Amino acid sequence: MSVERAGRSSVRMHPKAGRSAVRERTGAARTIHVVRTVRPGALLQHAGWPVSSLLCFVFALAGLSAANPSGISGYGLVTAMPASTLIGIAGLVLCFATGFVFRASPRWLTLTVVLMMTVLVLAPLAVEKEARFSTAWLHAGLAEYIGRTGHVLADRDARYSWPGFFAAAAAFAALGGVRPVQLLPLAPLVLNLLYLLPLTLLIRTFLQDARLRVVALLLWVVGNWVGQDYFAPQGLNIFLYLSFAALLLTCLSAEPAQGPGVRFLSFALRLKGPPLQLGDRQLGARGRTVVLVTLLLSYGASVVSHQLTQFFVLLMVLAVLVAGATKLRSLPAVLALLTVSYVLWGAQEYWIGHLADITGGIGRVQSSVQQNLTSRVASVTEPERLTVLRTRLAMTAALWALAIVGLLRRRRRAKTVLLMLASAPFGTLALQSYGGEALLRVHLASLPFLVILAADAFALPRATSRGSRAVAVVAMAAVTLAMTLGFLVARFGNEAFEQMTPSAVRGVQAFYRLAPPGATLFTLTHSTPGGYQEQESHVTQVLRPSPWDDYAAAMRTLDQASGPAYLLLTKEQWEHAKIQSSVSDAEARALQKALQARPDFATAWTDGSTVLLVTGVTRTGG
Amino acid sequence: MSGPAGSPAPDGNLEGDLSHLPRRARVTTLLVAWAVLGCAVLAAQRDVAPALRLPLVAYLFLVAPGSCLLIGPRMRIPADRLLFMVLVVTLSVSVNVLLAQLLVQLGRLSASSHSVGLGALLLISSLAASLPRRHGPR
Repeated sequence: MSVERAGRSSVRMHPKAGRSAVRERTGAARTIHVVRTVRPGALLQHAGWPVSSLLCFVFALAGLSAANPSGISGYGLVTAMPASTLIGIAGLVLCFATGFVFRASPRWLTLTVVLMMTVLVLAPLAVEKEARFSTAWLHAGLAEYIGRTGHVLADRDARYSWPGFFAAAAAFAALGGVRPVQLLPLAPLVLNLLYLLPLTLLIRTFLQDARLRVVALLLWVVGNWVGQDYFAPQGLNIFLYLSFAALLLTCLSAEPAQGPGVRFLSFALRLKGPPLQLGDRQLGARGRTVVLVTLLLSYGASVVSHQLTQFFVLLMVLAVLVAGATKLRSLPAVLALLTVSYVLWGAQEYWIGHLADITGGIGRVQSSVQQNLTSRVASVTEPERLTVLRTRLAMTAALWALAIVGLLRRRRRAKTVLLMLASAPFGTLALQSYGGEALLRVHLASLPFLVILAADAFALPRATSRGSRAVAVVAMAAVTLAMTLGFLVARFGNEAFEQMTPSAVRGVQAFYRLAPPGATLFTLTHSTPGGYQEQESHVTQVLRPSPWDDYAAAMRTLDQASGPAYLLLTKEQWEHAKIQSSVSDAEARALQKALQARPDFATAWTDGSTVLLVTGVTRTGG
Repeated sequence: MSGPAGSPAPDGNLEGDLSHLPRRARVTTLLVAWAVLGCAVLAAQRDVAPALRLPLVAYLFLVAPGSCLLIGPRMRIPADRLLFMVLVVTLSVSVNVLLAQLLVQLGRLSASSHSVGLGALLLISSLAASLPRRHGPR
């Protein structure tokens, strides 16, 4: 028996009583009897799920340590993952499906989802040994420059005009006594864990069934194939976006949603039931003020750190207003004012020279969709690449299909708000094509609401026989497993050129060690870990035109470089060239041989796989 | 959902040693403690073993707001713990980004100015939270 005292309360543990807690109040003093009996059968039943999940997790992770990165093919990481890892992931899926159907505790189901997410997110790092994605390395360079100088190079890169994330990362790294580039490997895991906080709050606002909430969480994990959760402003901004949505809908949407959008959709889709009423009337004026200030601060953080997320937030607020779920009618105007003010003040170096780029896409929805979808798929001839792109489309279509099934299975009028929130991000297509990436970001911004709608597709009937439960386990496991495999292909399908091999990293390190200030590192494609430091004195740029397009012109570009020019040749660049420009293996080998044999080039560094050439040797005399 | 301030939570969990304090005082104590601890850690940053610096800073900016839950107050709103956690973490991340941005605009971003600024902001906000005020209409 144990007794703890907290103020005037005391808690007593009775060894013989049941699992529930019994409270007694006796006058001023309160006594709480918390009585628990642990039965071996119950312990086994409750411990079974987490132990199975943990075993599968350990099995999957242990397999990853033995993975061979040379197995990465045109289908991406999945072909390099050992069988034990795939079995471990399948085991986690099966644990989840069985636990869901047999009504395991939502806590353990959540643990299974978190373990699954950890394996999926850590897989590329475990296989490839270095942080993936060249853009992340470039971002580390932006943070490094800001941290070292306290200034930005606004004329060098558009991202310097929205430096909030890089500045915060620089300060964070300096406080921790590390370089920004050292934050890269674990950034995806930290960000994904952060997302789960607001996402869980958002999901529980809409879904009553605790197990369906975990299904929504799982769908988020396997549906988030867009891969923006790396060391990047958008990585952090997804967290701000989810937080904004969660806080707005949980605390500041206490009105019954009966706006024109809800009325129209309810009529069109024949949805019944009372209007959605979120938020909490108990919160009080002060509580609402605290939340509103937090919302404005988080929007401010988004405005100064990423160009696109703020528009998603703005569209989300508009959707909530059209749904009639909030009375904050002036909020969109305040948010828009913040955006315009910052662009005029903080990002003037960018917009003064690029006004046409910013405003050129407004209203051109068809062109935007064409850039984002049609041209992406139509220009690809490689069958493996085509499979990856089609998997991405299929994953997105599957999630929308599940959302529709969920909507039709439970025709609730309250769901119109979710439908509006999931559709609102498409409005950005009317503003910008965002370099052909807007549709990817739209999917990501729709996803939190889509998974809540889709979770209802997995709702189980109250009374089920043993046979139907077995069918449900098989069906649930099949759908989840298909989506998890789809995730691995869609998300990590570009690993052949998005991985950064240790050899390539050593090649770039050699450049920084050997090249004098003012030197330029030329690369064949974007697929290189360049630019992670000294951005003011060492430039990294892609060689244009490419040597496989116009060899002579490419050599002239190198010859005309303003300072010393270096050329980096890596395995992943050739892989990128094969996929992006249909360069054959034979062409790649011939080009590499020709470049290395040039009399005016000298090998500055090589480890057999990566070669760093210094150009213009005869011109400069050595 | 928790019960009203001063009463035990319906799920029978303890609220910790601060439970006899009014809710506002608990919030203030927590935030001031966080800010003072943060400033102390950041001031002594150079003396901390290099291997410990990053975990310590990560704790300060990510884990500490989250662990507020363990001793933090119960708010009378749905999903109170989670909501409080999301609020504090969002606030922490946003203030970090905005402060860093401001210092960059001023051309003064450095680890020390960031930590001093952040500590000052946290102190001001926590002291502001402790000011007496009338309850608004419920």
